[in-house]
Amino acid sequence: MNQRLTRTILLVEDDENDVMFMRMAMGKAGIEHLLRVARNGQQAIDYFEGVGEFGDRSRYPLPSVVLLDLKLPQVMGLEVLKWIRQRHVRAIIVIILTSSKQEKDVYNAYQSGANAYLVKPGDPRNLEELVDLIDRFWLRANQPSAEA
Amino acid sequence: MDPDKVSPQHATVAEREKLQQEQTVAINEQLVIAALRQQELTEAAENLNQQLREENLQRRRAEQALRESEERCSSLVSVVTDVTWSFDPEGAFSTPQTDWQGYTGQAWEQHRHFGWVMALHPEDRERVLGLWCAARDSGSLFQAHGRIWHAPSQQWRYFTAKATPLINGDGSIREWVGACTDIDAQKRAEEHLEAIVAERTAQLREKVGELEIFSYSVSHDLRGPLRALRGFSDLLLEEHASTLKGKAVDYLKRISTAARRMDQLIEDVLSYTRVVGKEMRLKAVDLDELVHQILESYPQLQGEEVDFGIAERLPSVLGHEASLTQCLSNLLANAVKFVAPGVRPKIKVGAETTDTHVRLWIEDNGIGIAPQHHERIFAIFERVVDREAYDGTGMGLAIVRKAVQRMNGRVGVESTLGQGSKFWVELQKAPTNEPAAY
Repeated sequence: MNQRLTRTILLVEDDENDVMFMRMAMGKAGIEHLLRVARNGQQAIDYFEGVGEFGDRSRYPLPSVVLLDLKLPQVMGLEVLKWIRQRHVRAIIVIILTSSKQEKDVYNAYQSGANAYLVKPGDPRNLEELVDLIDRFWLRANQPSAEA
Repeated sequence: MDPDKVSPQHATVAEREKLQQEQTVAINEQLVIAALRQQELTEAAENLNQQLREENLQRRRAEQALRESEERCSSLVSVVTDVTWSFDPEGAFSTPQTDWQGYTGQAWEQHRHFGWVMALHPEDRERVLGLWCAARDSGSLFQAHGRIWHAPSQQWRYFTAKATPLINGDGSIREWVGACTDIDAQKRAEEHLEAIVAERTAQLREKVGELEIFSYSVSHDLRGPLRALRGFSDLLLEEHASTLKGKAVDYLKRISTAARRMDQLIEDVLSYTRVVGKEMRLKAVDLDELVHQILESYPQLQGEEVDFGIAERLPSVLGHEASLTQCLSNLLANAVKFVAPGVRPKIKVGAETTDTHVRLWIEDNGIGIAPQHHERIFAIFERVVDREAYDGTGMGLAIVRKAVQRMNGRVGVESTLGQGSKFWVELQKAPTNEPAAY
């Protein structure tokens, strides 16, 4: 891929409400402008390949952080993760964000190359805390690679 | 002159008569003695005859008994087995085997020497012959099973065979005697049963698979709408409370509470299904370490408000660490939760050890449980206290019981209403000197 990574956060999420909560939580943290959304697994892959509506890299820059739901229409989250890792895009931080606490899901996620596994909080206020943590750790404390 | 030396011619008449008398007496004595001797001899002969007769009788009885014993033995053999045979020390048939011929249909020319091997199923020949040669070479009991051709029914039938060597006085093997038993009916019944078991297992696996898909779906899909319910009602409460009228705030709070509760129920049901379906490899778990870890990592078990008294050096048990953590944290959280308002929870943890088991107990100063509820509290979704007073889903103890059962243990409670409770978990003692995991 060998392209420049930006501070963009790509949220791969099919639940309209969860997208809305994330937008609000990022708004509170002041990083809403970094958020881009893919509504399913195929869209996430399209986003990376820059095809279709994601063709404009200035509008849809390559993200350094992906928040990935596991259960997605068309292409499942784990498949998206494997696709990203198979393309040797190791520099991209992939954080699983899902409802499931099932050990099988957690195990498979790490086996497939996830950097972190977060469970969606039931309370939107907790989501704000989580977004704050992601911002502080992955976007600021962590030293990302400039290139994919 | 010596009268004895006097010849009869010279003896007087009186002397001759005396002499004659004396001789007569002597002869008579001899005769008596002879008669007595004859009687003795006759008696002895009779005794001997009697003895011979008795011995003869005994021998005939012994022969009869032997015949009966042989008959009994051969009847017994023919009842418990189907084919008997005898091998020479080399393991070959050196004489025609009637039973063998009857069962396998092999004529003498066919079964002589090692021809018998050909009556075995082609797939079994090499293995059975190998077993036989090993037994023959070591002079030990021969045992084998396989399939053998049954001529009367024209089919391969399962059999077991055993043979034992008969040993000469000098320790050499005289011959081998053996028997084949037809176990075809049992074997086929066993195969049928195995097929049924395999089929049922497959069905069960399918059900477990469906259950896994179901819990996966519950885990991923059911919670989304609940998050939305809770999230939006909370947003309304936070951002629009001032514009809400009348009971609207109360209603929104109820929606939020119900959604949170539903989420907890889903979480607990998932925990329960995990405990039911999870493969549990039991290994030694140090209760001392585990209990302290739980106290450190569960926020509701910390703080000044709780008075914990943990016994020194709790023993190790045979358990599944993750499940045991869940059990003990549930029990400890209950002990802290179910106290009367204003009472500081005072919790004691200890253990008793027998030869084979460890009983860990957790004693509290809580509200206690009436005896009629002691069993009920371990069932799923069962609650015996008001939700308004003590929140919960009624799944905690059900999870404990299921997990403890899966670890081959037992759980129970001793309690009186208002007098506190003592919950106990009994598990197998960890084997000593066992490595940490196996």
